Amino acid sequence: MTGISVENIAKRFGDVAALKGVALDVAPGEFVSLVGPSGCGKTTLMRIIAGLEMPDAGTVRIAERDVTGLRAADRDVAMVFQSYALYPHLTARQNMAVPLVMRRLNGWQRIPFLGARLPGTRNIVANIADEILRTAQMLSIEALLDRRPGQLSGGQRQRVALGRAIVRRPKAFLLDEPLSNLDASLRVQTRKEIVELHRRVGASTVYVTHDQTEAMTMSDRVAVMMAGEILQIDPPERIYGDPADLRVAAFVGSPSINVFDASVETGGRVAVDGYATGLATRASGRVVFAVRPEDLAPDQRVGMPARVEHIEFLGESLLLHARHARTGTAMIARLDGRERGAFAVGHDLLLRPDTARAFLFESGGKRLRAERMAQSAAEPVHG
Amino acid sequence: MDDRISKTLKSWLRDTPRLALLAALAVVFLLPYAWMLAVSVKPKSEVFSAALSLWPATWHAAENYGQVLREVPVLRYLWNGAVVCALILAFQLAFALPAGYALAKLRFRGSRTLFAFVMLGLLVPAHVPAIALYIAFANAKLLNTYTALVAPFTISVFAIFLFRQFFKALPDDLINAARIDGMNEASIVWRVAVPNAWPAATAFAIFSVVAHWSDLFWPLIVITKGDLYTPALGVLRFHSQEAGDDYGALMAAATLTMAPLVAAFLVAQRRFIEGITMTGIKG
Repeated sequence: MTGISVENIAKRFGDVAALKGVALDVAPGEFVSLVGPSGCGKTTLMRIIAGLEMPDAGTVRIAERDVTGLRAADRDVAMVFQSYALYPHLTARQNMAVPLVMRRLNGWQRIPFLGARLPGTRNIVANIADEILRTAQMLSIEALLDRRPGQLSGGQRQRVALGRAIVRRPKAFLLDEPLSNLDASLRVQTRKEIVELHRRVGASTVYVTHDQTEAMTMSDRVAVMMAGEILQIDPPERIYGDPADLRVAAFVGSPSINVFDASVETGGRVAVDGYATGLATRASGRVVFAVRPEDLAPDQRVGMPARVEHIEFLGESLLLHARHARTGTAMIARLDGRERGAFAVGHDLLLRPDTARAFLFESGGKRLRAERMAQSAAEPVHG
Repeated sequence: MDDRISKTLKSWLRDTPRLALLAALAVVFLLPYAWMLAVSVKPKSEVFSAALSLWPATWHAAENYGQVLREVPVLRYLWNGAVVCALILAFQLAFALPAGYALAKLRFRGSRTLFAFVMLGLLVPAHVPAIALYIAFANAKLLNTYTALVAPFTISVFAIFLFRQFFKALPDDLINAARIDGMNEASIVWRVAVPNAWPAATAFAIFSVVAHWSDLFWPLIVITKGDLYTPALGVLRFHSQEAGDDYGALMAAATLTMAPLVAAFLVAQRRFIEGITMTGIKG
């Protein structure tokens, strides 16, 4: 049983391959985020799921039904647009009524004045009014129902747009950067509300965002997209703690992960400019050693020589911007904010990565499974 | 309190040159109409007197207007004008709104070429195909019918162009939202695009009605029977044969012809302004 299932989707716009054979499965009731930099194809993929764009190849299934050739209107999906896309000439109530009216009333019953006199119309219309009210209560927008979009604030429009999407209980629920037009504090609040709403509605949800915080905080699983491909689909903690690709590691986490050029020495030991990292690999030649800012800390005895260039004090933590003394590689260490007094710009120190939480990647970006070496091997190699 | 008064005074003074210019232009444009009204209530002797005065010395309105209503079925002409204008506008909107939507928002093969043809159509004056159309209507035995008055104008390339430009400005997301909400393209045109195109539709309606209400050229070609005369043709009847050069009656007829148009414009103008303030398409 799947909620949304996408196989081998390919899409070209002229000479540009927007999607290169993407596959994605969303379980019923699951919340999956598509996250990636702009132009990575995430919005195109969502539009293909919605039926607003036709793929060049591949299939789309919603609730076990092949909908690849169907128009958006026949797919039973709901979507919230970045711009909300409310009908400007209709009130909030009428906006929310549109998807129900279009689906439940036939063409005759939709004719103004005349339609209301046809058998059955009155009942359906009453039901619709009921459901709108219930949905509005869920979103606490009852008081706004008779206003037009032009009379609503950004946050209120967003709620009405959400209401229009969930009012008809769709099988699939698509959200295209719905928070990007809200101010920062409202965004944090709405993030929580959307997650709660999703729990209550329980539809398979695909959420497109370029904001990794939204993706990490809201989703059951995160799909990181880049250049038309999904690099990794995993729960947030694995995306962060076990990235499959250097691009995933670099995209997720703020500040960005520290990346070092490393070489594989005898016995497969990985060294960064002579510093033995304590990791080993079967690969040879050049590899990439990466460690997150919070896993890099000053050490008295061993580590990579660095000079402090800039200090950012964030309250609970402290960001130490430094540069490798020999290679010039920029690095950032996240330290406890209480250590503020211990460092000054221009200081030379040793920064030691936490081997257990560092990653190795091929120079092409793919993750290398590293072996940890015995503690003694983590001593500096001379030369 | 004084402050506010001086402030309003200042803004008045600042606006004076602009207002004066606009007022002067308004007078220039209104003068022929004022003259028309004045002549329509003057006796013949005064019309041709050397003294220029707007106000008649002897009131001759009843005679002039009475003559018009007596000698010519003015109401019939007005009715013809209303029917013809309404039919033309209805057909124009029925064709141009979907066409404009398709050209603005749908991707299909040849849409650019089609739009190029629309633009080319804008360059052809109505008089160019007149002879050919006349021959066609004559062969089809359709002269002296409403069809002959209406049919040539049912498709307005100008309207297609106007609506296409207007619909272009509608956000794509709005159209996509409608598709997701279950509308087909026809529903989108009438339920989403048109309600948001009121300003354009009203502007075009004014343009179309004014043009065809006062059109003399085409009715003169295809209508020879009196009971199908449009208002413009009706006015012409006072010009020479029947009433001689009776300017008083002529102007009375012209005034009667203009009156519904002015009234319609005043009503539409209010809607027009409402329409503009309503367009909160953003967001």
